[in-house]
This record gives sequence, C-alpha cells and structure tokens, in this order.
Amino acid sequence: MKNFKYYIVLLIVTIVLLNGCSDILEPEPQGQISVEDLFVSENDAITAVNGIYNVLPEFYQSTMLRLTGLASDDGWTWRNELETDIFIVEQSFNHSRFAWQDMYTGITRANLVIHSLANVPEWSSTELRDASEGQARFLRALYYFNLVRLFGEVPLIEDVVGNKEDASLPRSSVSDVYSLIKSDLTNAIALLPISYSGGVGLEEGRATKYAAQLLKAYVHLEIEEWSDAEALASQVIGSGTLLDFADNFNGSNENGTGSIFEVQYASLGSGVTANQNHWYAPPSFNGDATTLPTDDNLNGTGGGPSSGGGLVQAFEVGDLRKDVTVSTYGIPNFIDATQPDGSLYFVNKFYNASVAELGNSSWNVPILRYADALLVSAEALNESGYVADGTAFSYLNAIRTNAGLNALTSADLPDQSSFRDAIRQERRVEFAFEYKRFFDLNRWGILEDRIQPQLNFLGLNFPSAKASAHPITGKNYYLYPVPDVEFVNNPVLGDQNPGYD
Amino acid sequence: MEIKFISNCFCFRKWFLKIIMRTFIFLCCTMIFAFSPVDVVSQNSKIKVEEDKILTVDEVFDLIMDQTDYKFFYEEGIFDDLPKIRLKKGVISTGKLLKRSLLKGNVELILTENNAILIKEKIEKSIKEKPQEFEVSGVVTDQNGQPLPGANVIEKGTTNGTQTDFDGKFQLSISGKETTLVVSYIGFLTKEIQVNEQANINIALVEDAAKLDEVVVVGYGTQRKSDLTGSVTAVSEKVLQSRPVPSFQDAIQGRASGVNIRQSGGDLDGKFDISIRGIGSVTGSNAPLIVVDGVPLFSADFSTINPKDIASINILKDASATAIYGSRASNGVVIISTKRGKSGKAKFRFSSDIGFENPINRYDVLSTEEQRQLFVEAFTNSNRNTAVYDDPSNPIWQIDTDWQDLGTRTAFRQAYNLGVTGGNDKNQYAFSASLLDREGTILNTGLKSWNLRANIDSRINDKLKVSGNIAGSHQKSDFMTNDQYFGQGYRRLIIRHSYTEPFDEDGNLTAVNTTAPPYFGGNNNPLIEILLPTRERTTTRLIGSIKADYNLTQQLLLSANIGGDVVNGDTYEYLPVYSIGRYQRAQGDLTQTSSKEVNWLGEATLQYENTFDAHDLKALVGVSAQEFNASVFRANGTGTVNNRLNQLSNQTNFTSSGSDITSGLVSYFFRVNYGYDGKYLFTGTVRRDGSSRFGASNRYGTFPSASVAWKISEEKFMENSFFNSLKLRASYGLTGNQNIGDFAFITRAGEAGYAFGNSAALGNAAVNIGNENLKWETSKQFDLGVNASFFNGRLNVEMDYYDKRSEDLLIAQPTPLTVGVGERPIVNIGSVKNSGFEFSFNSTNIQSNDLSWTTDFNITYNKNEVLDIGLTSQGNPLELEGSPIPLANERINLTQAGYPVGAFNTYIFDGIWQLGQEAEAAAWSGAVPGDVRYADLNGNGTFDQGDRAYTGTNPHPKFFGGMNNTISYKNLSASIFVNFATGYQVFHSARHLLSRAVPFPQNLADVRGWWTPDNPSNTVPRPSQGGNTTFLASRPSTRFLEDGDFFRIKNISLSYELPKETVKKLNMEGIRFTLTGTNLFTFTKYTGLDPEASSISGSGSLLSVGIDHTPYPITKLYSMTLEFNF
Repeated sequence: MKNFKYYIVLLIVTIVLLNGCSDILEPEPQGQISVEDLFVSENDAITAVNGIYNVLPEFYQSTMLRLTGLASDDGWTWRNELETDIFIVEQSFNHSRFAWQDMYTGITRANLVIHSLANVPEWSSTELRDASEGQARFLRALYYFNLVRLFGEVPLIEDVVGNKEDASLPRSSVSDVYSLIKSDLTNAIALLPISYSGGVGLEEGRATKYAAQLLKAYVHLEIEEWSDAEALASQVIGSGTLLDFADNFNGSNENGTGSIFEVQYASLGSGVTANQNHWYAPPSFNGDATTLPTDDNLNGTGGGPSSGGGLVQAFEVGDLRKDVTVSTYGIPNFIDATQPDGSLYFVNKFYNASVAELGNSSWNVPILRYADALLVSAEALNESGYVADGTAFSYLNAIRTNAGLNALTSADLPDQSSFRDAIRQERRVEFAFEYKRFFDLNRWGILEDRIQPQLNFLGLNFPSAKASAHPITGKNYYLYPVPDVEFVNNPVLGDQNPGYD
Repeated sequence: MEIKFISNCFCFRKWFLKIIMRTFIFLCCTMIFAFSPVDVVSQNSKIKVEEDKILTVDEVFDLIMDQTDYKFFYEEGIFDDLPKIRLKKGVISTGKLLKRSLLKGNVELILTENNAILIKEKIEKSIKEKPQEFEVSGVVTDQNGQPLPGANVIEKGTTNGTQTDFDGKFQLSISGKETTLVVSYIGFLTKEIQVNEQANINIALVEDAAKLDEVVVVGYGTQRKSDLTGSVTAVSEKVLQSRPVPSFQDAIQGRASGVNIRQSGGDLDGKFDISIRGIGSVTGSNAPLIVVDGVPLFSADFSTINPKDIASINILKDASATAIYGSRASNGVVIISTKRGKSGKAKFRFSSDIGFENPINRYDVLSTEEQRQLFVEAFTNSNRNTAVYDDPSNPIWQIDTDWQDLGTRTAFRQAYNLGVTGGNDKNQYAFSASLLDREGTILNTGLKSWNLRANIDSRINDKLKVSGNIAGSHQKSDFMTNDQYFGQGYRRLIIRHSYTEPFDEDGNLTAVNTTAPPYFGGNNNPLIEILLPTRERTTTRLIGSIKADYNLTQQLLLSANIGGDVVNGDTYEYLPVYSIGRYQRAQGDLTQTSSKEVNWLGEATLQYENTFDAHDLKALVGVSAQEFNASVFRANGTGTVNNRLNQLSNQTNFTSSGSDITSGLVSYFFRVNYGYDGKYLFTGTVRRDGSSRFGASNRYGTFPSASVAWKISEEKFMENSFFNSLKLRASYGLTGNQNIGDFAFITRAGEAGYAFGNSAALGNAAVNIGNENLKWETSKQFDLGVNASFFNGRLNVEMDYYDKRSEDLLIAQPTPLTVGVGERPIVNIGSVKNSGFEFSFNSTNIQSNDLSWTTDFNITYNKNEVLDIGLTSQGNPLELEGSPIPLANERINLTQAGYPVGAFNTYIFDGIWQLGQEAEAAAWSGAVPGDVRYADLNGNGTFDQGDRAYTGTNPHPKFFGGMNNTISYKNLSASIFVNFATGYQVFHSARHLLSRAVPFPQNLADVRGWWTPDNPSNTVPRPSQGGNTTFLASRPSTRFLEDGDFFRIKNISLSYELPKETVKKLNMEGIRFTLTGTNLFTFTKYTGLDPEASSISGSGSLLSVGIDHTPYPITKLYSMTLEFNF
C-alpha cells in the first residue's frame, strides 16, 4: 500500500486546483454594477439623481470661465489661453468640446433617471419621487439651455442612450430645443418643492420650484417672451432677500435667502471643491491670475485685449460691489512694472483666503440669485413697455440701493432705451464673472460692439461671420463651433455653425 | 469529497468538466503502476524490455536514457553502419546492452562524472613504427577553462594520436618539433596547433554553434534549435550577463532581430517599450507576454526580476512559435528561464559591480544675459514695459544659476550577487541572493533591490521529477514624478529662470518673494520641488512555481505546473509644509497607495514522444487555468502643519478610493511535432482560450498554426555543398490579443458624486456603453525563414520575412460626445499590417590559439500600416486623434487607414514672415513680420486647422538592430556592443515649450539669433509675450519634429581573467575583472536628451507615440565588476 500516499497527494492537488478555478471566467464585477440595477430601490435611484448634478462643479469653473468670462468685456488673459479672449476659436477648441460633452453627459444621465424612475418599486414619499423627477427635468432643461445658447441648434436626445446610434441624431431647430426646455421646466415647477426638509434625497441645495421658475424666466427673456419672463420672475420675487453683496459669495449664506440655485462645492474631503479662486487670485497669493478684469488703465501698456469699456471702470463711485468684485490687494503690478504697487486689479469674487490651498474652496458658486429675479423682471417689464417710475424702477433701485448707490428715477431714465441701458449696466456690475455677461451681450446682439474696441488694440477683427441672426429674436448671435469630432462620429448631425468652415 | 469536487466545477462547461475528469482519472489509474521505485542507476542497472523488438543503436540509447539517468554524447551518423539489435522481452543490464550494441563498432565509451557517456570512434593506434622524436603534453579546455575529457589529439596527417583524460590532460609522442596537432571534440570547433617546439601546450576549444545542438525553450517544453520550424530568437546567458543591467529588457535590447526595445527613459525601475514585429494593436496594449519559468506574468514590475538569475531568454516571434500561448500571443512571447543547478560539487559565484552614473546629456539653455535680452525684445514686441529689463548691470542679471548642475549628481551604483549551484544525480539546486543599491542622477532619487531565489530539481524516483522555483524580491525606491509637459523631474531643471538664487547665505533653499518685475513666469526654485517632497515606493514580489514531470511510460510524460506571482506595491508621497519666498504649502499633503496583484496558474500537460523508423513524432495536449486579481487602495490626507506629523492619522481631511478587479483565462492546447528522416519537419498547434474579458457569447477563441521546415543540407545532393546546414522554414497561424479592460461588455455604473450643503453625496452614473459582442483581436501571421551555416559553422545566418495582420482590432471606438459617457466603447474593427525582414548573423572571424574574434549582428526592417480602422458614420475613413500637446491643445498624431499607427499630422513649418510680406501675413492670420509661418495647405489664404497634414514621417523606426564584437586574446577579452535605430522622428516637446522665444519660461539656446528686422532669421520667430505672435509660435508643427536616428555605442567592456595557476593557488576556480562603460557615445542629430525618449503612457497611448516630454534621463555608466568562482 505504499502507493497510497501518492493518491493522497493527488487528491489534495485536485481539490486545491478545482477550488481555485471555480468561476474563473465569470468573476464578480466588484464595486461596479450595471446601471439598470440602480433602479431597484429608492436609495440607489437617488444616487442616479445625484449623478446628474455631478457635471456642474467642473463645468462651471474652468470651461464656463473661458467660454463666458474671457469671451466678454469682463475678463482678459495675459496667458496663452487666448482663444476665447480674442475670438480665434477653432472647431477643435477643447473648452467648447468640454461644454458640449459635459452638458450631454448630464442630459443622458437625466434621461436615464426620467425613464427609469418608474422601475423603482416603492417610494417612501411622493415628495421624494416627484422631487427626483423634477430635479432631473430641471437639470436637463438647464443643460439644454446652456447648449442652445452656446451652440444654437443641437441634437435633442430625450431617451435613454443604449448604443451609438441612439446618440447620433441631427441638430434640432432652436425652437424645438426651447420647446423641450420649456416643457421640462413646466413639469419641474409642478414637481419640485419650494424648499427641502433634509434627509437622504431631500438635502438643501437641490433644485427648488423657485429655481425652475427663475430659470424658465431666463428662457423666456432669452427668446424675448417678455410677459412670460416677467410672470415667472415675479413669482420668485418675495421668496428671498438681497444680502449684503459680499455674503453672496463668501460661503456665509449658502443656499440661503439670497440664493436660488448654486453649484455646491464642499470641503476638501468631499472631492467637490471649487478652484475659481485659483484662476483669479494673484500669483503672489499662489493663484494663476489666468483671468484678470478688463481695465482701461492698461490700455497701451502691455495689457493685451483689455482696452476700452473695462470692468474696473464700470463701477460707479461708491458702488459697494466694486471692492467685492475686483481688488488690487496692494501688491506689485506684474503686468506693467512701471506702474506703482496696487495698480493691477484682480478678480476678488470667489477669492477664498481661508483655505490652505487655492483651488480647494468649499464656497458655493451662485448660478441664480435673488437679484436675478429682480433684474429679469425689471428688464422684461421695460421691454414690454416703459412705465415711468413703475415696478421695473423699484426692482432696479432695490439692487442699486443694496449696493450703496442712489435710486434712479424717470428723470434719470426718461425712456425705454435709457432704462434698458441702465439694466444692462446694472447686470454687468452685479453679475460680473458669474457666467452671465457673455450670454447677455449675445442675446442683446451687442457682443461685437463691445469686443471690437479690445481687438483693435491687437489689430484683429471680431469674427462677424461666426455671428448670425438668431432664429427667434433675429439679433446677431455669436455661436461656438460644434466640436468637429461630432461631425466625424455622427453622420446625420448636419452642418457646422457659420464661419467655422 | 465527491460532492465538493463536482460542485466546485460548475463554472466549466460540461465537456470541459469531462476533459478534466478524464485527465485526473487517467492520472489516478496510471499512478498504480507508476510509483515503483527502481534500483539506483549504475552500469549494472537493469533495462526492462517490454516486448521483443529490433532496434537501431540510436534507439537503444534512447531506451537506456529513458530508463536510467545516463546521457549519451556522440557524433551524428557514427552508428549508421552498425547492424540493428534484436532484444528479447525481459531485463538486461545496462552495461551488457551497451556492449552488445557496440560490438561491431570501432568505438569506445568514456564515462564522465555527470553520468554522461561519451562515445567516439577509436583512434587506430599507429602500426608503423615511426621515429618518435618529441614528447608533447598539455590540457584541452573549453573557453571558460573547463577541462574537456576525451578530446582527440592527433598528429596531423598521421594516425598517431591520443585522448585527454578526466582532467583534460594529454601526453603524446610526435614525430617532430614542427608538426601540427589536430584537436577535436564533439560540439566544438576542431583546432589545429603548430607545436613550434613547445613541450607543453594548453588548448582552448571554442563551442561550435552549428554542431552543438542548442536546446531552445519553447512554450510548454524544449526543442533542439535545428528542429525548430518557427521563428525563435535565443539570447544566451553569456549575452545577458555581459554587462550590469537593471532589468531583462535592457539586457536584450539590440540583441534580437525583430524585437524593438526602446529605453524610453532612465527611470530607476526601468522604462522600456517592447514591441515584437511592430505594433499591431491600435488602442490596446502591444506588450508581449512575459513567461518566467512557466508562469505568464500579469504584473509589469519587471525590475523586480533579478537579471542576474536569468539563464536564457527565448523570444517567440512567429505564429508557429507563439500559438501555444493563444489568446495572449499576438504581440510575441518572451520566455525567461532562470539558472538551474547541475550535478557536481557546489560551485559558488560571487560578483560585485561598482560604478558611477551620469545623465547621458544635458540641455543648453540661454544664459541669464541672453534671457534678459529675450525679455527686452519680447516685451517690446508685445507692448509691455521693459524698464526693469533694460539695465544689464542690475545685480539680478549677474545671477546665472545652473539648475541642471544643481539638481543632478554623479550617482554611485553598487550591486552584489552571490550564487551557489550544485547537486547530485538526483537533486540539483541553485540559490542566489543579490543586492542592488543605485543612487539616482537626479537628487533625492534612488533605488534598492534585494532578491533571493531558490531553484530545486529533484528526481524523486525514476518516473517522477519535481522542480520548484521560488524567488522573492523587495524593492524600495525614492522616485520622482516625470514626463510631464509643464515640468516634472528633469524638465523642472530647464524650465526655470536662471536669474534667481538657489540658496541663501546660510545655505538654505531660497526663492523670490515678489511678483514684481523682473520676476516673471518660471521663477520658483526647482530644487524645492525636488528636495522637499518624499516619494517612496516599495514593491515586494513573490513568484514561484512547482512542476512535476511523471513518466507514465517511456513515451508518455505527464506534467503538472502550479505557479503564482504575488506583487504588493506601496507608495508613500508626502508634500511637506514649507514657506520659501512666495512659494509655500500651508498644510502637508499625504497620499498612500497600496496595490496588490495576485496571479495564479494551474496547468497539466501530457506529452507523447516516439520514433518509428524515419518518423519522429512528438505530441502535447494540455489544459491551463489562470486567474488575476488586482486591487488598489488609495488614501489622501491633508491638514498637518508639522512635517514630522507625516502619517495619515495626523491629517484632518481625507479622500480615498479603491478598486478590485478579477479576470481569468481557461485554455486547452494541442501541439504536434513531426519529423521525417530528419529532413522534413512539421509543427501544428492549436489553442482554445476562454477569457472573462468577453461576454458569454464570445468568450472562447481558437488559435491554430502550422509550420514546415526543410533541412536541405540533409539531402544527398547537398552532401558536398559549402553549407554546414541549411534550413527553410514557413509558418502561418492565428494568435490573439485580449488586452482590454475588464467588463467592457456590460454598461457599468460608476461613481459620480456631488455635495449638498457641505456634505458629500453619493452619486452614480453610467461610465461606458457595454458591448455584448466583443471578441478577441486576432493576428494572422505568415513567416518565411532561412537558417544557414557556413565555413565549418563559423558563420551562421538567419533571415526571416514576415507579414502580420492584426484583425478585429479591439478599438476604443470614437462615438459622438452626445452618448454622454467618458469611456469609449470597445469594438472589434479594422486591421493593421506589420511586415518586415529580419536578418542576423554570428560569425567567428578569427579563431586561433590565443586570439579569437566573434561578431553578432542583427537588423530588422518593419513597416507598419493601418489597413482599415473602419469608417466614420459619414462613410469617410475613421481618424483617431492622439492626445493634445499641452499649451497648444492640439494633437500631432493622427491614426488613419493607409498610414502608420500614430503617424505625425500637424502644421508644416514654413519659416518666418519677412519684411515686405506684411499684407500677405496680415491676411493669413493677422501676422506681422517675424511671426511663424505655416504652409497654407488647404490654400484658403488663412491659417486654420485645415492646414495640418501628414508629415510623411512616423514615430516608429524603419530599421533597428545591434552589433556585438568580442575579441579575446589570451586572458584578455574586449567587447563592443552598438545598437541603432533609424527612419523615425520624435516630437521634442521641450523645444515646443522652450524654444518659442516667449520668455515666460527659461528658453533653450537654440532661440539664439531670433528674428529681428536686422536679423531676418527664417528659423526662430521674433520674441513675444502674449498676443498673436505667441499664439502662432505656440502651434505644434514640424518645427519641433526631429529625426530620431541614432547609432549608440551601448557598451564597451574589457575583462581580464586571472591565469589558472594563480587562481588555483588561491583555492579558487576563476577570478575575472571587468570594466564596462554603458551608453558611452550616441551619434544622433536629435537635440533632446535622448532620441529613444518617449513619454507615452496610459490608455490609448499608441495613438500619441513619439513624444518626448523629457523623462528621467538615461545615464552613462562606468562600472567595475569583480567575479569570483570557487
């Protein structure tokens, strides 16, 4: 029986081998599940809703900064990132591609949620169920609104994308895009609560009914549907207050009464921190100062495309908003050494000196503020018909007095046109670097007028071929190029925007 | 037990279960008969004859070898004339059998200590009495001084001769003092020696590469080189150990035709790109499969495999050779075998390498004064104030810091290795221990490796042999982040301005504390970033296998192999709190990463080998299962304000991440080798693999290959030809590639978090679009080869032509961004062709008593072309873009059908706009004289992206190879090894960033002579800082594409072997002293640190090849080696 020991060895080897090789070809995908499996419970479905918000933090700091902050008379750059500053954007410009990509990423996530919520077998409350759908529709509308303002006609993807073909649709007309935005927002207004009670899925900071109303007011303003804009904005007026200006940006009143919708940034451990301050802060505070406020005093002394109609000069004397918005910090002028210390302005909004590392700010960045409601309403009222010292005046003056300025009367602004100019001026100083100026100039059809003086300095011309008549308002409207790769990968997309071929 | 056995096997398909079951049942049954121990082998050992048969003498020897431990060495054909022997069923003693077999032959037997039996024709003793006038004696040895017992020593032209004894000694009376001796020995080149009145002659014979039937390790077995039908390159221990190297890739660079190894950086733990016969995969990996002692590796930490332990590397190239590895073989297979013990007394070997390294090259940057002038010129041109820059006498402009000098050092390198091999006829062992301690040439970097290995072979009884290998290594390195466009590692040292001080009066690091001019741009002190952070990586690896070979019968060999490879990696990175000038970090930042890779393998093979008359047959079947698990955990913490509180528990803010992925392969394979008459050879292989990386419907792939060879030189009509051997080979086959991520076939949810208020909120979103239909990438390869040997085997030539088409490429397909997921879906589409020639020879140019000269040469031509990567949805050929070059954000590589993978496609530099061209320049792109001009390729009169085009150049060398020359004179030996590559270009991104005449960073010296109205340069634009001039100067273009062609004296070594007599007195067997110089001279026009530098990394990397972001510099190494054998 001495062979017996070999049997034992063999048996042990066999058992070890076979134990090891079980399931070799079908390992568990640890830590990852199929997306469809998210909609089996309320809690998992909420994570899918949160995933729609996920594109906001990155999009609103680096990409929108360039597409709106630099591409307006608010900011300029002394660095190499000149494309939007001097309007030499090419079809492959990475930030217009990022914008397109981020927005569609959010949209496809929203589509999945909108179409899959019905699969969740049970909800703990209808509030939660309705709020989940309402947020998905609000965010989808916000993303399409950004797309249609940046690119014009875009593919309208409303269903779940299961393959490449589902996402390969032709560009829809601007009015079709607006139809979807409006219907989503109408639904969102009906579904969303005016505030959140807290708890999983109902945390403060989610989109509210007011956010949907104010966003829809902006949509109507964009396409000059004045009465709708005014009606919606008015529904928001009264819901909040105007804060001391600085408190809108310094983290002290996050999601508070001065705010309607904010991009939520949090402390370092969350992985969602803001780096706007890094782009704006001066190098000696370790920022990149990539974007500086336009300043007429730099004209001809090496300032680059910053000359004429500078933001620094746009503030009236005594405007409390100036020091919050721009500051020289009293440090040497690194652009022009012949100027004294404290002669170079930097963007001060969002500058969070309390964090050890710039770029790790936890301060939220407002997208819609209570002030928006007042100024949207005032503008819409004025466009519907000038009323001397009417409601529009009171809204405008609410903003001005809050900023330490005198109230204006019909003596100062005797007609619709002068009131319009006042609104435009007020919006500029109120919302500088809040991603609005470029869109405002564009919808007013005056982007070229405002930019050309700055380009004159460089001997360049505004690319007017890239601005065509807006299909609804008829105003001259500058569009970014649809990323060139989209034409390669989507055969039915259609034509590129004018001026880019 | 029974129940568990079955339940565990549910994972297999039924029929696979059957195969496994049958294999083991078969194993069980045969075991009963098998494990009967047999007497100790001796000349009296018994040979069992199963049945009556008639055998040739050769077959008798096979019979004896099968049943005993004897090996026979004899010249082929020596027994051709002997009659066959009739054996009766029963038992016969070995001695008797041998005697009977050789009865009629005029041969004699010599038994050596290793149970090897030499059989040689008897020398006819001279019958005629001749005058014996002179007594000559001596020793016959091999090149290494090992005595050769039984060598023939004959007086030329006579039958007078003798044989050497066990110590290789001989004594012979010859007819005169001026006669010639002819010395011959099987497997060695015959040598003629003039006696010249010497009474004592020591003769060293040189191995005959052609006659010595080299054994080559192929997948799952070995084969005689002469019987190979596929294309295999063997790199010998001698070549591998010829110079100190950090890893095996370095050792085989330039040594094997068809194998392009690019040392793309000097990272201390190795940075090599290996491609065998070109690049087949476009977006997947092109790395070959690496197999160490039968274990296919999963982890790539190759520097943890001690190159000193390697005995041979065999590179399988064509489909016939690689198909046995099936699904992972399309990029070739590299088989590494480590040193094994030999029976005999213990042999110790100790070696120490001590050397110094320096960066191979340095950049020439502007002096401070030149940089000041650049500021003045640029600021003037860009309407900036130049006041502070105008005065050259300002003390600031007197500072001229050489950061490259300060940041690097002459690095000390030491390596020690101690090994012992030995054993008896049953057990053999090889043990080794080694230490490598290498300083980095960049400050604050270095690497230490400790390696241990034990290889044991044990013949448990006459049927069962068990081999075990285990190697453990621990590597600790202080590393540096590298290869980043805007400056990490070495690039930091060239990007920073020279007009700031490195140290204050007290010798502490210093930096400017203001942004006021003239401080501008790259003013921080690069030494802060190099010296202050702590970056440590430790890698601990345990790799081992146990293999059992069991002779079921004389013809059937059952083998089982169980192997494992466990790699643990830990990284610790601490960025400290500091405040130096205006540069500071207020809180410490700590990242710790821990990764674990576990790879296990179980295999069983059954091999049949037999000979019927002129038919040789060998067949192999096998099953294999392999599983990989990789897990990573990473934690980051910040918050400490005290640099001594530098652990995670001292931090206040944390983020962490982790993942765990498992994949597996289950395979069956079959191979048959058939030979007829020793002339016609055939090999057929088929492997079927199942991989977890594919969905259920396409899980399995089958990879067959076939090859034939014709040994023409064995034909009658070639008898008198000048070929010693001539073999033609042809092969065709399919192999696979599964180098994609796991779970590409399902749509996975991935982390997509957000925050509400200041609390993080968990978020999820789809990360990909699953593709249920994914399947293997398949490579179809045709190979035609010739092996020839001339001049008594002194010249051996090998040539191959190959045509390799990779089909159903696993391509990460571009989709419209509207799909909304980041990961491109993997699809099977298109094909890539690599075709080329390989040529190599080794030649013994001089072979005399004291002097020998050998040359090894190889060269490869490869042409890479994308045949098809599908169409865009619009029906145009698909284009895959490379990653954009930072700063400009424009790509320079474009992959498209009809062009090589990653071909350069960019703007064509067309000189500088000159005075008088103002109007044209302005219309073109608002340019002015002095601005860079690019060819208006689309002819629309303006500068736009339509002006980018294929440059006609590509990132892959057309020709590459190496040549080694070794000259030995008495105890001295010198070798010089060169390698080269030509026909490719490199995008020199340091120039793209630093030669724009934009003074923000320090500029390279080649901007000297920039354009001014008085100096109308046509190569360097006018300086600028911002604006359109800067924009134009910053476009990537052919201005920064440079020829990479190089010819490098990779290694020169000079070694001296102490005379035997001296060594004997010291009670040793050999002492060798070697001086080597590595990377001594590089002849190239490339202006970067090194033309092999390449910074591809991450996924999709091959779409962005040929870009040099200044990796860790490779080094010149001067080293001294002492080796003791005792």
